[in-house]
Amino acid sequence: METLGKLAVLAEGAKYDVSCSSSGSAGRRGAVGSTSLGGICHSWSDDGRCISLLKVLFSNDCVFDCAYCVNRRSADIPRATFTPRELADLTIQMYRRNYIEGLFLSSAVVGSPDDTMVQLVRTAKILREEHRFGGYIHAKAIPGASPSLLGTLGLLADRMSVNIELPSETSLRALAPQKSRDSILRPMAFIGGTIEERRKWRKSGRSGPAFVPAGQSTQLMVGASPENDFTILRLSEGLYRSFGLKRVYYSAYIPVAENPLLPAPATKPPMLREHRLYQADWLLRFYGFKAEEVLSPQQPNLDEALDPKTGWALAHPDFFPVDVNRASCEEILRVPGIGVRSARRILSARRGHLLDGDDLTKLGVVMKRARFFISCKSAAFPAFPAGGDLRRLLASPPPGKDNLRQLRLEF
Amino acid sequence: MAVWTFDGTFNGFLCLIHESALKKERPEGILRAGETQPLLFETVHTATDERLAASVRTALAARFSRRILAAGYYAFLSAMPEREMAVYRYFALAWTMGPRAAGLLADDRVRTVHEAGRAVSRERHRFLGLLRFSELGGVLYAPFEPEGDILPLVAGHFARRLGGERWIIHDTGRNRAAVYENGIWRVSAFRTGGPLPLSGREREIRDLWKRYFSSTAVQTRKNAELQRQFMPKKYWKYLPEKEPPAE
Repeated sequence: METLGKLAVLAEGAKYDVSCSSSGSAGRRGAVGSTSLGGICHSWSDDGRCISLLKVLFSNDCVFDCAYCVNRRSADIPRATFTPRELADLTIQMYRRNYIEGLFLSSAVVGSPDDTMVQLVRTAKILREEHRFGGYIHAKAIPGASPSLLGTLGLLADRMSVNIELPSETSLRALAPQKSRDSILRPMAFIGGTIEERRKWRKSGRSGPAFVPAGQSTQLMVGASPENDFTILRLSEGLYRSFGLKRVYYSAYIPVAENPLLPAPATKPPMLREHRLYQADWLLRFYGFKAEEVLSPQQPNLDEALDPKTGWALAHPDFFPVDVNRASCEEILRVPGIGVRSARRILSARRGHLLDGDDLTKLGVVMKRARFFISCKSAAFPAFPAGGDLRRLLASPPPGKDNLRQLRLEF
Repeated sequence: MAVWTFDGTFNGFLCLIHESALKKERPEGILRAGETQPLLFETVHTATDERLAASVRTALAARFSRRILAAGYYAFLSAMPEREMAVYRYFALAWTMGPRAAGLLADDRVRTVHEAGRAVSRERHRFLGLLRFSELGGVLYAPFEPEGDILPLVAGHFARRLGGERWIIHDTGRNRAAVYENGIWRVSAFRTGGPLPLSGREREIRDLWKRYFSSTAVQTRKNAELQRQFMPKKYWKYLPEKEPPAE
């Protein structure tokens, strides 16, 4: 098959992986290419997602038969495999024209996990060593790969990820019989551990190449298996804590196969649920929330009508109103309508004078929501306990179209 | 009272500021030489002296911070009408207030300049991604049509990124280009006689990109509105992936 045909097949096979960020790696520079700390988006595809990296599979010729996956062995689809040189050259040609910020190097399992890893390492080596490519490389660790290969790939990549996809071992056993919790978590733990070790090593003044400088990420599918949001969010929390993950991506499952264990092919992907999970994830990472505060065994799923922060606020009337002129940063961050940036601005602006409502608007606070939860100098805001009315007032309008607006996710 | 003119460069503008401080006179308006001159005003032209400009730059930064100087520079590159006077007033305020001036977000003199500067910085970031090069006879050529005069703001990025190449970034609206060769880029006047022909090889790589662009979209999640929100139509002109299909 020619490169054009392969590219179509192998982009098709990789597109359900939602991660596309090119951020977190600063100062890498080669003969061709450099990285930018904040990441750069190069285009936006017809689904509105940003295109930053050339996201393809090295091969879609999989020996695994995971029921949820387009590339599963039993699927009747065209198969293709790049050669390492072909993919490296394609990357360079696209990079020089500024189409892309780098390569997202992933693959189905061809032969064995280690055989596949060897091909990925070869591709990355051609890029880094022959082309002296300084752009971004996001490399996928194949479940079950051996530590030595992970170690080699990690020295060539900016970011690595192992996708968990299914949030529980039960689902994994049912839908991905050749994978196991262990074959996924072991590479993750290895990468996390090595990143940590390297960081300490470099801090102590010793030099050496960086290992996965932009950190590690993973992806969880939403709606393919029966786990509730509480299970998913607690899993993410654990991953951030124990493996130091940079990001957990959530992907609303798009049915690709007829299978009694999976949603029927015509089922719409749960986009709104995905959106709420991202909002809850943000609360964990930037707002000091714990998974147990957002959800509980009694209320295991996120309310689709409310963003999770507003949901928490309505359930905790005693916490409010928050006095923006006196409260701590942590308290201010709990107010719906106040983001991390506005909170920081409030803290700096209130040193000058007592803030009133107009000041808050100027600082970028979304007063439409915040006004029910704060007090300030003018303090002329409706008192908090307005009960059910308030809930109705703050609920998002039912989405008019099913293509709900997506969060911007590059980071 | 007079309208002052300068050569249109930031260095020229700095010299104009110096002149104004020296004479203790404020311009009634500031125009770029070559722009239509109003008939009723007397005009005064300030010549550009690069060395003087450099010392004005240092003096301003020392008096009110590099941050304010940079905000003014970015606004100077914007497409805002009467941007020169806006930046002049902003610098004048900062000269008396010092670095604190940057925090006065409620003051119109500060807000206008900061907003214009932010727009320029946003557009610069967008084009770091949206600029598209084509290989034409050993040179990478990228035409674009930015609103702000961002050539000098994007050139450094590509000098780092494509250091081993020869490239031209062409602002087709202003007929100017940054030309990079042997580790140095320079901005100069530039024109092409219409669209440049692409080689077979170039067409091929473009087709690969277009194929990738369409294959990577998830059809069940189609969202044209979101796409346009991030990538407005005004930027499509030079994007191969938005090229209408060939006949």
